[in-house]
Amino acid sequence: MKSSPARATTLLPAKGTLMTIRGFHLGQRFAAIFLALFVFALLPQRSHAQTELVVTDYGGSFEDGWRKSVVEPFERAHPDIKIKLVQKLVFESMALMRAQKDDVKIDVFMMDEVGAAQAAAEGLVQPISVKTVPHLAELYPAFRVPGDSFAKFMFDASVIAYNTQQVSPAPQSYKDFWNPNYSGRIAINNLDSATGLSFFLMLLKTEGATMDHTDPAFAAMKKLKPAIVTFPEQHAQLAQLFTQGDIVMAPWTSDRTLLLASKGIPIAFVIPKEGGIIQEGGLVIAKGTRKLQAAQLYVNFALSVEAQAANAKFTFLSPTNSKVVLDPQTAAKIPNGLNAIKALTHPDWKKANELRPQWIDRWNREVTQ
Amino acid sequence: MQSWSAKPPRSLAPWALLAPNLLLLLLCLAGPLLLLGRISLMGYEAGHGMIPIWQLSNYSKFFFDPFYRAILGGTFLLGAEVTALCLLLGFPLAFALSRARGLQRAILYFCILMPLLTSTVVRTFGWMILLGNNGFINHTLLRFHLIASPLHLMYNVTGVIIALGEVLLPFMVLSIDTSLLNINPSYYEAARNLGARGPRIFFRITLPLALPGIVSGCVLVFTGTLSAFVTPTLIAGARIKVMSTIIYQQAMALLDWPFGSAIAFTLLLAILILFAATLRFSERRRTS
Repeated sequence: MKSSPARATTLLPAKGTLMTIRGFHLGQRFAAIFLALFVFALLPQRSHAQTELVVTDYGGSFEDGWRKSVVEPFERAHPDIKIKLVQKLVFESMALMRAQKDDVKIDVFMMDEVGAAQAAAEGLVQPISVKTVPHLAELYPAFRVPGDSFAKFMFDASVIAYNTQQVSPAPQSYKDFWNPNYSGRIAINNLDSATGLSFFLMLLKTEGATMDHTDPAFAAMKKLKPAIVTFPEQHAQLAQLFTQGDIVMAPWTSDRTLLLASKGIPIAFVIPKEGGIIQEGGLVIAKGTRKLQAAQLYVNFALSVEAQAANAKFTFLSPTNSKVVLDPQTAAKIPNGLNAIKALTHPDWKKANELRPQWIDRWNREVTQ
Repeated sequence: MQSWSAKPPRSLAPWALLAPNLLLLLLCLAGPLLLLGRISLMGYEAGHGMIPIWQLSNYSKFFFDPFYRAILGGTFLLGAEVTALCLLLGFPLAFALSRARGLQRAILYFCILMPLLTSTVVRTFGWMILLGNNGFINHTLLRFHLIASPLHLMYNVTGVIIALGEVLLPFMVLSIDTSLLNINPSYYEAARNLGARGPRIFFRITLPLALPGIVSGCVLVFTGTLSAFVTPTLIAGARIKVMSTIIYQQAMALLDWPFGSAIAFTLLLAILILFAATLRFSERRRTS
């Protein structure tokens, strides 16, 4: 295969004179070579004895922790399964699940509750059970979903992240964003991101608004508009803004704040007095996967005590498994345990999801314009 | 080559050579575009998914809403601004490049291509470090008391123009360079013999003959700006809305593929119309 194109090119210097080779027209020969290459490229690679399980994760610094806590130990425990990690953001995953419906390429998706619930509603998920994923039984009851359509493997809290050197005293309330001292030094995530949505839902509560009557929240945002440096959409942008000192305060999540703090940035978080939203991460098995058993083993492993304790230590994800015992240092940092879970607000995501397009449209016109 | 074209019935070779590319283009461009066109005519209900009907309401939603029309206009304005910046900076550079010879040209060429050697995301984060309120530029200017308060270079359209101008500049320079190199030096000698001076030579010979390169450079930069996504998102955030970012928002964040597809198709159509107009214009110039 390799020698043919090389031979063809050695014939090229004789351009125009040597038109036929062994009775073949040069063009036909080229065509044959290209066709052969093309067919070769389309042939399926020789299958390995190993099963390759394709799973998504959030990428970046999250992925470093996930590799250490889940992927590597899992592969050690199951030498016949190889994990291939693909980076996907929640809503990208959703789009992909729809697109691959008839020919599943990615077996397990990592998505937040909003995405996972939507995927379940569209019939794109393969439900699990205590029989296929035994560790499900160890989860706090609050983390079981109807029909066990997916597995919640972690949670974090929506918080106010602040620069510990520039903001003192520490913020106590969402109202502190309106403090003129911090004008021009805050960022508010755009409403189309999960962090932005959680902030908006807390804002509804703070401003005495409801999902059906959002006017007070929008009025408050219009007032805040001039104080906002930018409306980021990605965690990496917020990390950059805090690191460079362009902002000193922003709504964020507990795990991401701690991750940045662990890199030496003077940053901490508070769950303000109005509370915080619980944000849960789910593992969703794609309906129609050809590696169902391996996928179930993987999900089960991610729910295990060992994996969740490691996740808490490396990437500050709060465990959903009630049997996890954290080391005192980690336990002091991250929201964990039944009381912490109960203190966080669990919004009606289904309703929020249905109203979100409307809110975003209004946000686009009134807040970020 | 000539012997092939002289015998059209037997010249399978060009087709054979084109076949893999054509096949790829058909599979990866025409197919998805058709699908996109179909999706743009469907309906959508939040929380439930797409509804397979035929309708034009996604397009009317776009065109009857001044909010979206303003985004289309703003995107074209941004394209024009970046193109103007690239032309202004690119022409002198291309002129210098076309005059340089040997090693000097090689070094200059490499420097001009440099922006294309890093990935968009890395380059954009680099710009964020330079342009931020506490970034390198503001820090330096403040340090030397050249400005009293930080210049707002990030999170607005200024930053986007700067960052896009940097990466698209090579396309402008290389297009103009090619057409400048194609000008026969004897034209200049003839003009000088006839007593023309620098500015006159420039406006009567250099500029008109470089026009094809300028036009193709402008088209490349303009369409490059219109399709840019990472740079406006990271540099400006949600404050600056361009077509690519609202397509992303509809398709990815809101999962409203039908409306997202309709916006994408509108952008494609607008670019095609512009292309056709430009081609007509340059063709007419050539024939007249």
